[in-house]
Amino acid sequence: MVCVCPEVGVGAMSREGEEMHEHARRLQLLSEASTAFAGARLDLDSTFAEVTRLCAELIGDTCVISLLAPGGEAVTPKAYYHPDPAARALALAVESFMGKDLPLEGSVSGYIVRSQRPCIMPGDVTRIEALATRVGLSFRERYPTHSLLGVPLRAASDVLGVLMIGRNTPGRPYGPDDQLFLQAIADRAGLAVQNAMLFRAQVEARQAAECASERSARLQAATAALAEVRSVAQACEASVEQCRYVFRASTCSAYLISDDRRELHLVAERGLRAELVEQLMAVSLDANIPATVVVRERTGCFFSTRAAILGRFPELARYEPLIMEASVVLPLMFDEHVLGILGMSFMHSTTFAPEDRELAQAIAQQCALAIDRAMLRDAEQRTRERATFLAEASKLLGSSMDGEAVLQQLARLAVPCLADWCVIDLVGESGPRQVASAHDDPARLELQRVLREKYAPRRGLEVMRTGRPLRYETITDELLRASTTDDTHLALLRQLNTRSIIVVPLIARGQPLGALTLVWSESDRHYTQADVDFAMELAHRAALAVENARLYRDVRTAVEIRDDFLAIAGHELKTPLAALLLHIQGLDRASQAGRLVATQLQLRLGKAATSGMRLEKLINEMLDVSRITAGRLHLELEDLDLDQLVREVAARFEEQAARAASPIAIHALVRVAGRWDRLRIDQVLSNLMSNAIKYGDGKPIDVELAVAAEQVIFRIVDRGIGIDASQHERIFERFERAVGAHEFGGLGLGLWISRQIVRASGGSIEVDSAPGRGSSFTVRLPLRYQEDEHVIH
Amino acid sequence: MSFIDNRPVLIVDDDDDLREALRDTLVDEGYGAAEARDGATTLEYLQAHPLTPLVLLDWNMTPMNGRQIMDELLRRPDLAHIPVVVLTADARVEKQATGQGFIGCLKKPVALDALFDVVERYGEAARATTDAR
Repeated sequence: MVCVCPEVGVGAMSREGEEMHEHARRLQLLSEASTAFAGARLDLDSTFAEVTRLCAELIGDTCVISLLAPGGEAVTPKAYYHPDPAARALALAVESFMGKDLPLEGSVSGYIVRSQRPCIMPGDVTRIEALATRVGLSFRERYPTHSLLGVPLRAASDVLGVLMIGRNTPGRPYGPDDQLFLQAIADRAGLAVQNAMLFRAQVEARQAAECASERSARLQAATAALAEVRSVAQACEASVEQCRYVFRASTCSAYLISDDRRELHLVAERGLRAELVEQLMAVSLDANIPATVVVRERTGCFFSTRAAILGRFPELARYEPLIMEASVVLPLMFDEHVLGILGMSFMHSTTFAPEDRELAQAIAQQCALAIDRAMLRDAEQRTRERATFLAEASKLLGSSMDGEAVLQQLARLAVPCLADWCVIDLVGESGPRQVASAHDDPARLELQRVLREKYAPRRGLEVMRTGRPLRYETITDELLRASTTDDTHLALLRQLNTRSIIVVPLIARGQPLGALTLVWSESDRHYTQADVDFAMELAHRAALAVENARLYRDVRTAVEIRDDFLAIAGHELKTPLAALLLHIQGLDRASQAGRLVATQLQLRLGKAATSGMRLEKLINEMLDVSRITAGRLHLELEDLDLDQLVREVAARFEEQAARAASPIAIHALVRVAGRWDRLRIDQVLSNLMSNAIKYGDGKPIDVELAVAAEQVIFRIVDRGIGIDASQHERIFERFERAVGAHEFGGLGLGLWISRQIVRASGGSIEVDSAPGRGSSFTVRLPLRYQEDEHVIH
Repeated sequence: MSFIDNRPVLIVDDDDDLREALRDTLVDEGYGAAEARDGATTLEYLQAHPLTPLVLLDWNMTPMNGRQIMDELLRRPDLAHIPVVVLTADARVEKQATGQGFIGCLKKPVALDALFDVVERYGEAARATTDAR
């Protein structure tokens, strides 16, 4: 501040008084400059400005203070004053003036610094060629310097800069007094500069220390927070939490690389807008965006401005409204292995100092460590859980032979540790059949039931058909729409809220028996390839259990049939055996009593023999069954006149038929010659004739033999009790009889054996009958029988 | 020989051979024997011969089995008193038949002693006729 003494009037001054006055003003200036410098702290610029103004107004037209640049190779003008604003503007406009370094060679300031001595140029310095280059031409022409005085700014023995004044008017060159006075000001300025430099150095040192300690504290806090996590999800949550806090980012997100290493999956985020989260859930690693580049290049990216991001990734322009001003993407690396990335974005452009970058990398490394640790822990826990689950499942699957009940229990066991809901289908005769379904929420279970009633399980069918597992890590609405054709279906599927799904086949002995479907819905988890492997293991065990249950059931049925058969066989064998024994015992008794008569002996021995033959026939039937079942029935073909054979068999039954009052009439008998197994065809004819007599109800029996279209057709028709249509197939089955086990004579195997023989001979046998209307059995045999086809089973 | 005294044992079995063997055995021993091969014939015969001393009734027959024939007899006051022994090869039937109107059970194959035991007890009338012959 200039403060002119009020008692001193300018106009009334004598020359001596003028000088006195001048001297007083100088003293006052010196005092004010001293005060200004003493009060100055860090910001010397305003003090310099003040001092240049005071000096310019008092002892020159222009004043400039320059300081030695760091390194000491140049001087830098720091403040400039000229009373004429136009001159100030012009000087400041001159290129390479304010704030720009001047080399020590070729400038007055440089000379003063180098020589450490003041410099007075009493003449017109603008003519000095060396200086002309440094001062703008127009400035020089308009404001010629007629005298110049420069003094060094000193502190102790160092020169810190230069204080220089100049006059634009001729006639008043600077003298030694001016020099001394200016030096006095310069010395004060020098001290102030030195103080300021020391002060700045001190402040900077303190700030650096503070920053370092804060960074270290933040890193420690982050490390501590990350040390407490118990799962990958928690580790990611803690990572984004810490990063956002430490760097004051407006958003922070953690992505992990998917199992198949094709995508980045968003695991945790802070500050992202909800509608963005859906879009950013999964990112292909093929995309060219900062996150994927960081994964590939394994180093962090720091973008201070939006322009910097768009400059590097022009295709992001279409997302521009979403892109924040500054962003950072860091790799989550552990042991040279990229696990994922951490991304941060900032509302405002931000400079990232080297220390910031280091801190960011250090925190990212801590996050990666925590995530890796959690991954290991997760994997270990999963393995343990799964081993336990598998053990429980195996125990369950082995606990019962009721396959479907076990599957239902298995489905319940799978919820909630493997799925939010679990469905098991088995291949049925008419498509897939849902045998088990489990969900914690009964309403959802009901919804699923409704869905299944109306729509076939498309994916289950596919898996059952191909025998290969399916996995949809993420079920999108798009996927749902693609898999439905009508709106009701889509609405149901949406209600079920399926997020991720696995369908694996139940395979036993190479055959798909069914499918196991696991679904994550509310818990919002996603199935990985490892889950598929585990589900396959589980399905394999389930399939074995189902298969075992089936085999057990089949065996049990077979045992029941066999037991029934044995009971029937026992009864049937005992009847002729009883007759045989009665005859023998009766004869024995008569013989002992001495009343045996020869004719009686003859008669009863004959009857005993008949019963014996019946026994043999029954035993042969049983042996045939065993032979056919074992695939050991071989036909021995020979030339045979079939009409002749029919006659022979009919003749053999003549007596029996007569006794039953069912005479056998042979019709339309043509001569038929061919190659057949005589004994086996005889067996078939005998069986049919015996049946006709047995069930003929004492009415005539007709036999026909005809040839048509390369076939021999043998038909035997009775007029007896007949057979209901529902039984027509059953009578040809093994151990099956139309009228129940006890009511026929015989083992009920005759028709089954006959059909096996006829089929082995390349022919067929069928029945046409109705209750009360008699039965007609028709046998068709090919005339030209391919001998190599006669393998039977 | 008196028709009134001629009261043979009735043998009911659908198996011709076994029926004949039983008949021959009884006849050789001096008993009279009549035969029937199904339920209808049995009922018809007993209706005509209500004084029949004993019926040997096979269990496994068609269309009426031993149980059904017995039930029919029990429904008819004039026939309900006739002693009936069941013939069966099935051990389970023995239990089912006991106390259901049957006086006993003979298992196939039939032991001669057991057969004659029951016939001696109930079939005296049948023998008397033979003796008279």
